[in-house]
Amino acid sequence: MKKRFSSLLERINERFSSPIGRWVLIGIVVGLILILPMINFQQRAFWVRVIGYTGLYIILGLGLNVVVGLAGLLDLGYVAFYAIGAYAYALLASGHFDIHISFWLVLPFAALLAGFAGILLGIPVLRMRGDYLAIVTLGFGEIIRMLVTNLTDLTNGSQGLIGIDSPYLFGLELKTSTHFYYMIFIFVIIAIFVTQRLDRSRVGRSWIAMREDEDAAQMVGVNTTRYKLLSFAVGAFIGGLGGAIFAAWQGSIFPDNFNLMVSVNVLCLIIIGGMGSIPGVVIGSFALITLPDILRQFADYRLLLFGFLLVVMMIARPEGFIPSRRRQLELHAEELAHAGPAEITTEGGA
Amino acid sequence: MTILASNNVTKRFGGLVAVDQFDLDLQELSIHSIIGPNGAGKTTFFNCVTGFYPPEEGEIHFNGTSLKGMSPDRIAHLGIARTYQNIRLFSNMTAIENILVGQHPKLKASLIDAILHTPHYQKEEKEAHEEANRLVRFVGLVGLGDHLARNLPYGAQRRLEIARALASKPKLMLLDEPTAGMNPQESAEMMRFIRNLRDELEITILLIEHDMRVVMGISEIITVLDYGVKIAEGPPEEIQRNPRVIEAYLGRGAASGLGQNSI
Amino acid sequence: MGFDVSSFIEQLINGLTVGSFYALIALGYSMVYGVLTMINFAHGEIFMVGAYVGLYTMNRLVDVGLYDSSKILAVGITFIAGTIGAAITGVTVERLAYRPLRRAARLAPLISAIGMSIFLQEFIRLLPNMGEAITSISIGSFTLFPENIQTAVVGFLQEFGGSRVKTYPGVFGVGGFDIGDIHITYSRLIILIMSVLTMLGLYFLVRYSRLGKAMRAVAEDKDIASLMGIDIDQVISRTFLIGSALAGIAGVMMGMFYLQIRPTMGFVPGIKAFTAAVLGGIGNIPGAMLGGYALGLGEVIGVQFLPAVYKDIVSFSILVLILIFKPTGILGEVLAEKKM
Repeated sequence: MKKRFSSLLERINERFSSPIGRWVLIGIVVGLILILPMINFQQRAFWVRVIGYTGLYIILGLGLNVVVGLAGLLDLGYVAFYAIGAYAYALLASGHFDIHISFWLVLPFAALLAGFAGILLGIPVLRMRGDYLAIVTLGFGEIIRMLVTNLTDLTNGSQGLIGIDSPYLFGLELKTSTHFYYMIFIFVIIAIFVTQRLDRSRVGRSWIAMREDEDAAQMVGVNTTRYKLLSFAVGAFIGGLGGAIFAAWQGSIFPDNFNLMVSVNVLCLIIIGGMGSIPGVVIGSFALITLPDILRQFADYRLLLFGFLLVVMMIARPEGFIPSRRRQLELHAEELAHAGPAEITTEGGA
Repeated sequence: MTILASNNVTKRFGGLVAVDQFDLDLQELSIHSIIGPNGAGKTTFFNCVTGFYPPEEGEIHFNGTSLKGMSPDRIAHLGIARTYQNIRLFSNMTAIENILVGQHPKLKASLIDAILHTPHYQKEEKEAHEEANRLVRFVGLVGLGDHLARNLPYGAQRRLEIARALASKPKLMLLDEPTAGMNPQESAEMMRFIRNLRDELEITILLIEHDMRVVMGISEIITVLDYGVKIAEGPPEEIQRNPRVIEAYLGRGAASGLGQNSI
Repeated sequence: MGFDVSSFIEQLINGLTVGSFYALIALGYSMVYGVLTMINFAHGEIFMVGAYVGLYTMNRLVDVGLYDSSKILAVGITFIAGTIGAAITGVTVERLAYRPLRRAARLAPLISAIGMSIFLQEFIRLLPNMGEAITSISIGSFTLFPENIQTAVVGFLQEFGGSRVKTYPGVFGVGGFDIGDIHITYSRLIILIMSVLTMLGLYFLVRYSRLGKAMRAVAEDKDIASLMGIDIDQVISRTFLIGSALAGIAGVMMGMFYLQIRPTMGFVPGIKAFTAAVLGGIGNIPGAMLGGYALGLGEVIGVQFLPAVYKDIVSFSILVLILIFKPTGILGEVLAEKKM
C-alpha cells in the first residue's frame, strides 16, 4: 500500500512537472484565487476568509521552510516570531498606548524586530543539532507566549489587545476580509519570489549544503555560524511579517493566538508538502488549513488526523507530497563558452 | 618552498594521544603521502590542518600564515581543500550543485544580491555555472551533472568529491584514501588523475593512502605515522627498506625476511 | 520579608514531591534517549494515559464498593492498572511509530513522535465523540449497532476520556502530622516514599539484571550489541515498557495528588521532566532522578522570589540555559558532537 500511494503521487508529480503542465496548473489556481472574491455566491465570505487564512499560513510556511527545509534546523518555536510581529504592530497602531503609526511603516519594523529576535535566539543555539534544537526553540516559543500573557502592563495579558488600526492604502481603509485576501495574496507572491530566488542562489545552496552535511559544508568554506543566523533571521523576518498582517486583519490579538499549535501546524504543512519545496508549502497549506475548514463536520478531528498523518507520512513518504526538486544545470558541450582543463578519461567507472 | 608546515602538533582525545608532536614540512607542488597502520592518527592530522580539531599543542602554518584558532571555513578560504575517507557529499543536491557549493569561497553574492538579481550577481552565477560544468567534464562526469549525488555510482562519487574540492581553486589538496574501494585499474586511473592535478592545475597534494601500490607509485615523499608519532620520512625506496616501518605494519620480528612490495 | 524556617522546610518537602513526579517521568525520557538517542516526544502523553486508565479503574472500584471496604487494595489496583495502561501505550507507540524509522534520517523519528503526542492527546479527548460517530452509523433506517450497545459504548468512553476535566476521588485526604512547627501531609510523604522505592528498584534492575546489561550494551553501540547476540528490538521494546510504566505510576500519583486530570495534562510536566533529564545528563539514570529533584526544588525556591505565574518561565529558562551551556548535564557523559 505504501508503494502504491507513493507511485500514485509520483505520477501526479510527473504530470505537472512538465513546464507546460505546471504553468497551466499555476495559471488556473492563480486565476481561481483572484476571481473568487468577485463571484457572488452564498458562502463567499466564508471562502474568502478561509483562503485568506491559508495564504497567511503559506507566508509562515515559506518563512519556516527557510529554517527547517533549507538550512535543516528544526525550529519548534516559530510562533514566537509571529507573535513578535503581531504584538509589534498591535502596540504601535492601537488605542492601547494611543500610538497610531501607519501600517506600512510598522510592517517592515515588525519584520525586522522579529528577524533580530531570530538572531538573538540563533546565537546560543548555534552548536545544537537536531532534537536538542527542537526542544530549545520550543521552550523559547513558550517563554514568549508566557511573557506575553504575564507582562500585563505591556501587552494587556490574556485580555489581549483590541481595536488595532486598519491599514490605509491610497486613502482606502483596508478592513474587510476581501481587502486582506488580496493583500495576503500579494505578499504570498512576494514571499514565493524571494524564497525561490534565495533557494537557487549561493545563499540557498550553502543552507542546503549545511543541512546535508554541516562539517563538509564548513570544510568547503561555508561559514556555518553566519548562515545559520541568516536562516533564522530570514525565517523570523517572514514570520514577523505574517504576524503584523494577522494583527491588522483581525483587529484584535490574544496570547492564545500564539500557542504551540501554530508552530506545529506550520511545521506539519512543510513536512507534508515536502521539506524544502516551495510548491510543497503551498499544497501543504491547502491540505492542512483549507481542507479542515471545509470539512467542518470533521473540524473536531483535525488535530487527531494531523498527528496520525505525521506518523504515517514519516513512515510512508518522509519526503512529502511534492518533494523538493533540484534544478537541471548541466550544460551541453556547445553551451560551454571556453574549454576548460583537459578532460581526463576515467572510463573505468565503478 | 614550504607550503604547509606543522610544528610539534599534538592532539589528544582524553588520555589517548592521537597525534604526538608531529612535524611535517610539505613542499610546494609535491605529492606527499602519509601512511601508517589504522588508528595511527593520519585522519586526525587532516582534521587538525583543516581546523576541525584544534590541536592542543604546536602550530600549523600555511604559506606562512598560522592556522591557529581558525575555523574550517576560513582555512578553506585560504586555499586548502579536502576529501573524506568515507565520501561526504551533499547527497540531496545534484552533482553540479555540489560543485557550486565548492565554489563558495570564490563567490561573493549576498542575500540582497540574490533577491534582487543584480547584474553583478547574474554574471557571477553564470560564470559559476559554466565553471561547474567544466569541472564536471574535467572529472569525467559528463551526463551525470544533474543527478543527485546520492544516486551516483561509487566511483563517480569519489570523482565528484574531488571536483567539489577543486571548485574552490585550492593551492593544497588533502586526499583521504582516494582509491579506497577501487579495483587496480581504477586505482591506476586515480593515480594518473592525481598526478594531473599537480602537473596541470599546480595543486600540492597531501594524501593518506593504504594501497601500497598507489603510495609507492605516486608519492615523492612519504611520512610514516605510528601511534601518532612520526617514525620515518623519505622517498618511497627508502621507506620500503626501513625496518621500523615494516615493524610498525607487521609487528616486531617481521622486519627481517620480507620482500619489497609486501607491506 | 521575614524568613520562616518551618515554612521553608515545608516548601522543601513540597519541592521534593513535585520533584518525584519530574524524576519518574524524566527516567523514561532518559532511558529511551539512552538506547535510541531520540527524544520520545510522546512521553508526556503516555504519562497522561496512565492517569486516565488509573482513574477509570478507580471509579470502577468505587462502583463495586472495593474502594470503601479496602482503600489500600483499591489504590494498589489503580496503580497497577495505570502502570499497565501506560506501558502498553508506550510499547505500542514504539512499535508503530518509531521502529519503522530506526534507520531513517534523524528528524523523522522526532516528527513521528510529535505526531504521536498530538494523536494520543486528541485520541483521549475525542474518545466519546468517536464512539458516538461510529456506533451511530446507519444505512437508511437500519442502524449498524443496536441502541443499547451504542449507549453502553458511548457511556464507557465518556467515563474513560473526553475533553472535560475529570477528577480523582480524594484518596489521600487532607490529613497530615506535625513535627514541631512543620506540617507534613500524608499525601506528600506517600508520594515521596513510593517514588524513592520505585526508583531504587529501577536502579538495581538496570545495574544488575540481564536486561539492564543488555540495555547498557545497546546504548553503547547497537551494532556491536547485536553481534553479541542481543535482540535489539526486544531490548528497545522493554526499555519503552519500563520507562512508560514509570510514567504511568507518575500519572496515577499526580492524579491522586492534584485530583484533576485532562488530556493536555502531559505537556507541561513532560517538558519539565525532559528538562530534568537534561539537567541530570540525558541517558543517565541516576542523573534523571537527581535532575528531577533538583528541578522540583529549584521551582519552589524560584517561586519564593518571583510571582507564581513565572514558575513555568523559570523551568523553561533553566532548560534553555542548560542546553546552551552544559548540554551534558550534571552527571552526563560527554556526548559526541554527532549524538546531539
